[in-house]
Amino acid sequence: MMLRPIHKLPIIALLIFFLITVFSNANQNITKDQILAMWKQWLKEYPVPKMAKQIFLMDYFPKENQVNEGIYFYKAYHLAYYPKDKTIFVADWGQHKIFQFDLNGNLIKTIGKKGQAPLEFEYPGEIFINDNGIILIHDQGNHRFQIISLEGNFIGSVKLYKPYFSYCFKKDNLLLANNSTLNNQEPLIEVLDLNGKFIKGIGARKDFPIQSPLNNNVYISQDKKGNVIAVFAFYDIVRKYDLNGNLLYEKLIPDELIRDVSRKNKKNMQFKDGKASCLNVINALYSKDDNHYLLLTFPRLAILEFDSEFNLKNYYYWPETSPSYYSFDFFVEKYNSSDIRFFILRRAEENRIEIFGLKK
Amino acid sequence: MPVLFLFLLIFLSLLYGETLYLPPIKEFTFDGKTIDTKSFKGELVYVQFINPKSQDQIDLLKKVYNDFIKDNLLVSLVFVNNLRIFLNNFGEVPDNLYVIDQNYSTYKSLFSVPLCCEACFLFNKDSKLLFKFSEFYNYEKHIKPLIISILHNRDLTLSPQSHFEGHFIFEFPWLFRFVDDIELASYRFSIISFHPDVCTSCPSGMIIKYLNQLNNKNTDIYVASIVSSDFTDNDIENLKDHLHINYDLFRDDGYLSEQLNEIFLKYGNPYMGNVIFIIDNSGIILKTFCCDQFYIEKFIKYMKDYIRRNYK
Repeated sequence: MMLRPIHKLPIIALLIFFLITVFSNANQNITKDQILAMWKQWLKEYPVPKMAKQIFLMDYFPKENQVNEGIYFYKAYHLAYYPKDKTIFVADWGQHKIFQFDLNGNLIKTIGKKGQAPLEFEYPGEIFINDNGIILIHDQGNHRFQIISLEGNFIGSVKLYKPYFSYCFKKDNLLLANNSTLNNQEPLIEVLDLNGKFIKGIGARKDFPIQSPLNNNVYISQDKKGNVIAVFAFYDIVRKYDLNGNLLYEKLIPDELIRDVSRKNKKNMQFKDGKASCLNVINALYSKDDNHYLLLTFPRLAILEFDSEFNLKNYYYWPETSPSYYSFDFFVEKYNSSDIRFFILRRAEENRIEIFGLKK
Repeated sequence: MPVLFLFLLIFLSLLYGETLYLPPIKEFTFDGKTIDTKSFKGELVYVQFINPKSQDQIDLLKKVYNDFIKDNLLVSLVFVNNLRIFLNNFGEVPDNLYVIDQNYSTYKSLFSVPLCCEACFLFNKDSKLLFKFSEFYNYEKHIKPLIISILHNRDLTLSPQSHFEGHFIFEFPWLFRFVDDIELASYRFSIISFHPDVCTSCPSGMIIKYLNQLNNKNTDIYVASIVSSDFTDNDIENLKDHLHINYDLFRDDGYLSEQLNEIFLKYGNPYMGNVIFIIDNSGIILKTFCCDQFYIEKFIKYMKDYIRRNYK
């Protein structure tokens, strides 16, 4: 039964409260029962589409025997995948180091320790590997990017002076999206070279009914040609730009949940005292060749696959998702049309990479 | 019975709210000792929640142990969520370190520690909370000086600011060397700020933004900022470029930061970086801003008042 808008209000309020709680880690007052009730409600309200394919948990790592050997994540938030070597790099924010694994979860090496010197990190966050195998690590506590080789050798470091919502490093330059300003004259995406020099801006910020520095938060990625995909984190909007900054398209994402959340955000977007009263259901964007994938974890783990024009191609979901499933980074490895695997970096309390495959 | 106990703990947690007092806890340590926090009355009590997968948290406990607990200057109560990993990473647990590995999440909520993170606390001899630090601390800069101050009953009304204000800048050669070529007398006053790091959403960025505006509007105010030694030439050039800075930027060679740290430690103050000096045209330091959470607002208000008084 569909709820009338007025009846949805308490649910929306509860969800807002929950999401503020979860995403800001600021308030611990919401009870597990409330989350559970909302989760059940959303599962009913947003059933999976008919085309949806089930995935199942095939494997995960680090495993218990690795934990016993001292190989574990404490607060691993981001990962990077280098398909040429089939190797995964994970930045552990809480352990101040980088882990390198093969696709089977065997540890290859760790890089770094806590500190300010080259190859030392303080709270490493986002991590990227470009097509040439250069690794870029957002060394958050030191307000810099460190550039290292695939072998783990230090190449350079660049200080960062603005906070950004998301980053992309696939080709030669670094792309940074939204520095939380209300100034709509600033570009949507900034392009810097590896010396930190500003090269150009890409795209214009979009006007929304309620002004908020979060409005233009976009997840960004690049396709095979280097075109830039920008998915608005709080809205059902996706844009594609060429590298000269020309807008190739702006579209609405064809998904009922994302569309409904977008509609609510247009009405509820506020940002006071560092807290947002908006919902964020898209957790991450990943692009591989000309396919684009969106990761959703609430109310269920779902990966939406789009073609280059952002038409929905496939909808994958895990029916056993718990209400506390929490992830902000993933990648996709496609062996053939029927063997596709999703490597999802699951955050606390599990702290591990979970590998999902297609249910036969 | 355990259910009743949990309800009691939750009730106590609500009662204590932000844990202003050390809650009454009767529990067994992992090695079978019985502890009762009521018996801690009259002692300084250090409480730490540890996820032993974090080496930072293990290292913090080791440092507090070596500096204070070992000599029985503090009583300690340590909650761990994984005893095996804790013992692996910490090593042998001394007799006077009380480690509890039961009901971790219950005790976390009793002390209002958020699910996401861990924390440490210090309670005074009357079991009243003296400080609480979440995970983002620097032991040498934040926690150790506070404990030393408390143990030595230092007069905390004396602050690092009092070390500078009313003194000539040349009494502090490590600071003066950055401006000794500047004819301070030819400016109405000068502002020098020091920033170990810079980002626009942090206090450092706000200070630099304000100083830039001030510099653009007032040609008779000398403004300079000093950044830490780990800034490369390229970093300084990018900083000027990205934040459109058009006043003097200098790089510390490490000496200034060392001196500041020593002075802050002397006064038992946490050294958070970002120190601002306001100097009159005879070279006297009029005012210093740092440390407390509202110092930026105080600095901007002071500047507005000063400009209003002096620019009539």
